[in-house]
Amino acid sequence: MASVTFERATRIYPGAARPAVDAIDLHVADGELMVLLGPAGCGKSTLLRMLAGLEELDGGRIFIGELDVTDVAAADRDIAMAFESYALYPHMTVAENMGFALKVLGIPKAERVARVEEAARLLDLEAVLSKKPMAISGSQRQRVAMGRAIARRPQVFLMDEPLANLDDELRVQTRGQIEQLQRKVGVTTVYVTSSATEAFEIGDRIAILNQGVLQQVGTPDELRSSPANEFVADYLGLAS
Amino acid sequence: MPGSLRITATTVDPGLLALPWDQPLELWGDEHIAALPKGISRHVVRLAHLADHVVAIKETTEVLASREYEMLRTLQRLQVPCVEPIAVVANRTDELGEPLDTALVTRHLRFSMPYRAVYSQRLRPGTAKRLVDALAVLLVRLHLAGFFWGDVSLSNTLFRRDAGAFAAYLVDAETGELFEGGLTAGQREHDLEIARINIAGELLDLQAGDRLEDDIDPIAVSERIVQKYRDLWQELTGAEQFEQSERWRINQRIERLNELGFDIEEFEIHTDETGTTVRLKPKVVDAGHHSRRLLRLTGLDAEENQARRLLNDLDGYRVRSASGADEEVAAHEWLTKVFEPVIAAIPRELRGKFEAAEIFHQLLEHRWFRAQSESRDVPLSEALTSYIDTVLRHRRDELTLVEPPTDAIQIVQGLEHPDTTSSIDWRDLV
Repeated sequence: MASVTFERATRIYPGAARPAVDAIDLHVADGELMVLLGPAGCGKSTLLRMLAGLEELDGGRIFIGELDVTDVAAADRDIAMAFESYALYPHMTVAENMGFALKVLGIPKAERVARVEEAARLLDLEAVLSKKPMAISGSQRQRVAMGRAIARRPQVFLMDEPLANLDDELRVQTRGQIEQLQRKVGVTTVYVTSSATEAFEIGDRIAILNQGVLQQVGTPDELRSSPANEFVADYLGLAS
Repeated sequence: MPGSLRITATTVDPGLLALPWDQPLELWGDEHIAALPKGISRHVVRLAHLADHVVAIKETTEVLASREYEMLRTLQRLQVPCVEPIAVVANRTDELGEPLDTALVTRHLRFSMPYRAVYSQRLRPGTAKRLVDALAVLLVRLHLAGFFWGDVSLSNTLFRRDAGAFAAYLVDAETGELFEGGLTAGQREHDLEIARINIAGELLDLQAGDRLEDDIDPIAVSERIVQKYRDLWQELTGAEQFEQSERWRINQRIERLNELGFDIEEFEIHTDETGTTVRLKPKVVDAGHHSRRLLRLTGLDAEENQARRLLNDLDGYRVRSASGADEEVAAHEWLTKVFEPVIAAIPRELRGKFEAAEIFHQLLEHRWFRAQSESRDVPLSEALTSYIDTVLRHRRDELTLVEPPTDAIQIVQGLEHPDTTSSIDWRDLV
């Protein structure tokens, strides 16, 4: 686990009138869940992709812990895009579903077993490790998908609108699991959403962006009590 | 049926309205359903009959369905191989007025198969490699178009036979995003890593279900996509530098790309200040070199390798025929005197086995093998009879292949299932 620091991070798309991400300074503490919030096109997903190594920087730097990862390849940044795929493999056990990616990454067996065991303990899946996905409940299957990400032991979890694909019932359920998981595992998490309600419910702190510029960073209470400008107040529905 | 349905469609098909949109897809009866879907899906996906064709219907949220519908239309315009979107059916409610998920309707690709249907008993090493190779070509084509897939997998792809190889088509664009300025190296590498992990998972799953030949290493096969992708990407986009005196290398590069099935629409050529070295870089490449030539000459629409095979036969015919040099005249003759009579001779009940171009390719293969084993020239008519009787008749219909039944599961459902797992130690399997 590690902190994340953006130092004047900038992304300018060729031909664009203004930067998609404009000299953003932001520090995410070790173990913190930071929400990037803002309207479509505000730069929040671009900032997340820059951290993931999917977008190059046109200026500034990004650190994970003490390490400057600005020029480090995505695969070597030790991050996990959580909930990328919910696919579970029907013929493999829960344990295999959680651990197969470790095998692909060349991690030795003893280490794989230890990591799967730990993820299962955190997610309360120990009793079903030998079962196939069809033999467990829907909520357990979702946790298996999370377990796959946890078993990789990333330094940082990235979540890009993880609830957007889900219906209302599942959204509430998954949001609760993300919160619980983040508290239990304590992995630094950067979470993108355009929903202020979701941000308030899930974030330790929230960074609000507009037109590529960071408007304000604070806890939900700080933002509610003292929005930094009209945009923030409007976006959070605080304007009178 | 409630009257408030909202349908966005590319085609006006009255049959669309006749489908039972007031029922959850899971409950649709056999009179509508072609078969259960195959592959591994996050959503409920089923194949249904719509007029004289088969459609795939996926239930999802309205935002996602509309987004994927538009994305597939855009990819079609960009001539990327993908399924054809037909409609988004929103505002569905059941008989009690309770809302139902929005449905995305796509046309089932004729003669296409999910990877779990390309083998009959167990997946063999050669087939596994050909599937991965086809996926690598598709991924390169998507990336050239600026499309970041985000969930590259065999499950999200359909495969058509292509003269001993496969041609891959994208079927699930839900996670994808189009970047007008093209993809960064980081985005391409990320997609490639997702592909590697997902392919390994899919093959390990087949192995766990005893559907994989013993001598396949799932992880080694999954790693193949990385090398295949990188080699092709380098060939299609890489710059090369040479002396002015080696200008023949321009033609050599064009021929190499043609051989891979690509045409170069635009080159970037720079010479240095002294004029002694040339730097060459393809700027715009277009897949379908052989398919386009075959289409232009004969009007036949075939996959790339099938087209290559048919063109070889056509070129041979031209050399042998009296009409001599004129390519278009020879092509017309070949079509009417060779290709069409062969296809017309296939009994009607066997025509759903494979596409016409694939049948012709297999016939040429069959004739070649017979000629080798019998050490003589085998006339096409003789080969055709034995091909029909000893090969084609014994193959399954692949026009709309809907078997074997699905292994699909949706994790977004809350149903409890009985415990059917034996008492195994999970540590032995991880």
